Amino acid sequence: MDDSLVYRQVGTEGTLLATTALNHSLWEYYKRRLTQNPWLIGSIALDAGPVVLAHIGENTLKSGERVNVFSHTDASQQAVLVAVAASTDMSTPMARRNIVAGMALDVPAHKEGGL
Amino acid sequence: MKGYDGVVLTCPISLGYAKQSPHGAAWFIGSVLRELVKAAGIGKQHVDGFAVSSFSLGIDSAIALTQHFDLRPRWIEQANMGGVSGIIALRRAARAVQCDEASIIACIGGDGAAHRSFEATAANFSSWSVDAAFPYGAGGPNAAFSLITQHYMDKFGARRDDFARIALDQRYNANHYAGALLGHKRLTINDYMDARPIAGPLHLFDCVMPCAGGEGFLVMHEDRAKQLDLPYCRILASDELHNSYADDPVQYRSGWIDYMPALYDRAGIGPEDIDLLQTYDDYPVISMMQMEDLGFCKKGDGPQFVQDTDMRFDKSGSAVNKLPHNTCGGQLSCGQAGSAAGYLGITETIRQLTNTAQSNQVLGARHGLISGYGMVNYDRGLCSAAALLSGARACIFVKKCGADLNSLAHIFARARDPLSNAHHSAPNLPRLIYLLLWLYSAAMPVVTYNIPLQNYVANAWMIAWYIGR
Repeated sequence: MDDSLVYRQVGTEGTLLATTALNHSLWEYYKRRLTQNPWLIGSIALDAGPVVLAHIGENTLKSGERVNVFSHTDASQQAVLVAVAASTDMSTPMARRNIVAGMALDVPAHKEGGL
Repeated sequence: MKGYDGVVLTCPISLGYAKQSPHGAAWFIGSVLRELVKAAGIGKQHVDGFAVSSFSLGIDSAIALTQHFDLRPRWIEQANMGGVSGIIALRRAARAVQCDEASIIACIGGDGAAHRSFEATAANFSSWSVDAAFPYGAGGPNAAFSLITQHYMDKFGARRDDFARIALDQRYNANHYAGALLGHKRLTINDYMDARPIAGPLHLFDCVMPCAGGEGFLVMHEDRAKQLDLPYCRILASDELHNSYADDPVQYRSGWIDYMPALYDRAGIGPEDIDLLQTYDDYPVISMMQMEDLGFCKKGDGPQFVQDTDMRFDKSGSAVNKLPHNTCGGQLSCGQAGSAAGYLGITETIRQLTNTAQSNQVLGARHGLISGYGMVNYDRGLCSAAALLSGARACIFVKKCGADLNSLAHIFARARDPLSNAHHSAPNLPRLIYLLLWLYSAAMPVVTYNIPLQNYVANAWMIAWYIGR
């Protein structure tokens, strides 16, 4: 117990603990995303210690696999975590942006006929 | 840990379950209080202790409700811990009565269900949830429990049809409990397996239906309950432990493992003596986890245990082992009435052990185990609690012999068609059949449980009276 916690840089590596495909959501932001395909998220034990929830950037990822986790803004300008395979290049902002764009996480989901 | 000698639980009330309701939490809590006072035959001024649990009181608290209800308690508690709130209230209230800090304590859980209110509760469940779960579409419990369920399936080889065992037997129980919101619907294995997907391995019938409702009971001295002529049950032992096994990356066990052996020791009985079990069933995997951690089977054997165990209240299933489980249908079939869901197992167990359950009465039940679990901060339930209750024999076998008869007649009738007789009163069977059934129920406890002879003499008097009538 200490109140002198400081922010410090930690590694991005972790292990994927479990994944789930969301077929249902209470909120419009995700209801729209779920109209065509389920949305993948997972829990990851970061090597730095904490267990975090993150969007799964590649739908081939399986629990137990090593992953890299990075932070990016989504369509609502919220900073969110995205997990990709340890072998996937995410070293540059452009590489990370491309991954997020591939998931269509940076644009509002389209819904036929609007709200 | 000191026992709970001389403290009893009585007057179980379950009230007003509805999918949506125009009434707020205060209405449900106040209505339960009214029914508690009515059931006990006392005045409101005699309730001098008040424990409340609710998610939807908003800016009000237990103390505000005292002015709403014109109560003057000298002891007050607010236990807003979801699935353990009932056991927490029970434990705190029992100690308060034991220490004479209050004489009659009303423990009440109640929540409303206004249109779209569950979205608000789920979106703001905890600060960690707001930051670490909601942005991923994981606001609300489904996503968190789908990860726990998937991990349990991967780790122990559980399959969906294992979880179905829990949901199906509970629905059967709910088909015989009038208060269950889904009790009018049968659930088959095909319904379960073909249900629409919700999140990962979770499908529709793995998920509880949020609803409105109230649950409550009274805690008082045993002498007071006798004086008021109330059927009651005793607390043999209880315990709680929170945020345990924090280092497990995904939850598959919780605090029960640490305290259940000592809890059984204090109670002087073991899992094999439990006549009915009420687990906190927000999802079937969590009930399975509790069965393991409470000592009914080894860790990881939960899937096999539920396949081998008939969990129906009337033991009518085909499995050899019998363990009536969530005998009113649990939340999966009654609905999850917010914090009241944490009280459901307690009120149901009091009904069962005082032989005042109606069509879903477990015959000859003496020991009931209640387990509480709850409060997902973002990835796991942090709370665990358990309470082991026993019926007061005198109440069961002498005073309530009429209820014995009634429930036996119900069993008789249900053998023909479980659902069609679910909410009907006993059929008008000939008196001779009643008498034979009653003789059986009166003799069994004497033989099996070594009930003192004077109780049996009292039973004989009852037989004489019944023939005379």
